[in-house]
Amino acid sequence: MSIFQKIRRVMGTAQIKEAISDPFIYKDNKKSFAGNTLEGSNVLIVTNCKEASSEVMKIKKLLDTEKCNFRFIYVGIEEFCISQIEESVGNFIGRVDHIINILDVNILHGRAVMQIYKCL
Amino acid sequence: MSIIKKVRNRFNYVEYSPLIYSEELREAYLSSSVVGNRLNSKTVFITGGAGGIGTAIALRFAKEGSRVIIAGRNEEKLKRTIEYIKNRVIDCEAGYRVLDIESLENIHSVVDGLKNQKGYIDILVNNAGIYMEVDKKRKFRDVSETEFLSGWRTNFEGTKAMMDAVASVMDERQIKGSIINISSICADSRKFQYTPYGMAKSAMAEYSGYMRKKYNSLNICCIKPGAVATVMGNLGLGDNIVRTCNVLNHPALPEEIAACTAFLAAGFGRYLNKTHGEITVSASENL
Repeated sequence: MSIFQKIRRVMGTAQIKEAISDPFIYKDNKKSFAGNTLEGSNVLIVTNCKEASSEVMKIKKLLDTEKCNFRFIYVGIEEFCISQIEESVGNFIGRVDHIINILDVNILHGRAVMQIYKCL
Repeated sequence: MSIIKKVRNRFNYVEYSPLIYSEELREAYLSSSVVGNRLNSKTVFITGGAGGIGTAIALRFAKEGSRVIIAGRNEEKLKRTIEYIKNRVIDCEAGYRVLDIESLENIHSVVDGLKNQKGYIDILVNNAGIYMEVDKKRKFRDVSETEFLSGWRTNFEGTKAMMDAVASVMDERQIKGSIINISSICADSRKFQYTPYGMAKSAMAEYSGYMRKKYNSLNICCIKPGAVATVMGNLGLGDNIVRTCNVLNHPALPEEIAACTAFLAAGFGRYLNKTHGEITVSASENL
């Protein structure tokens, strides 16, 4: 230990930090794609996909196998507001553990083209 | 705030609680599936499987229900590893092949042997590699030709030969298999650009990208791990692995690299960037 470090130990106060790890042993779930780490957690998905689209159906099916609580916020290229988040998150017990943003570039591209047509 | 308090605050220091790399932590990172049962009854061949990342990969695949074949130079170590895997994962199918990755003849004889067995391998994990004392010097002028060739043959030529041999058989038999190459973040790091290890790992990543383009039907990917808690980094089971090497404040566990390997091998590697199919697993902010 250097002299400077020794002085620090005498004069200063230690701030204890923990290395980030997850020692929890999750229940075995053969169908999981996430090591079953999502089980029982609250997941909020923000997407520009349509509610009835095949992508959303697939995501819902996948999240069902992960046994997590999930809510969707469907937004377009227009800004979405706090009330949308509050409405979606309102049914969760506890906080949101994960937020997943799924952006379908094709939809964005389509909308951008429509905007250009409108301008013309 | 008084002046004394202000001065004292300037002397505050950060201390990290120890994080022991134990069997319990290993178990936690191996606990559940990460591939939704997609690797069940696949045959996996892992080079450098007798220790470190290789053993963790073997354990992960065994947990996912795959048949595991590990390869390495030391038969005793291979036997011990197989015993350990069978004790950890009950009912798993695990075997070994003695393979010196530096010897091209040995590689061809092992690959030919695999051809004759019932069902060819579905997944090849090229994990064998050496990190020599000379790689720590980071000056090319200090590297002798023998040292360079030793590192080059193991870290690049052997991997290349394995990839070539296995990919051609997979292609010939129309197996939609996976080849996962374990490169290193050193391939991109300026600190390691003049070391045999950095050069060989960089060449491996490039060759992996070339093979990905050549064999469209195969899922060929390259993982570049950062610091990992293995013997290569003087760490192992029972050690306190807290280091300020990344934002997590500990080097990656071999089991984390294994989970990533399994995920990519399960077919998700096809979604990686088309040109190179690389993924860096380091949690570091810079190289």
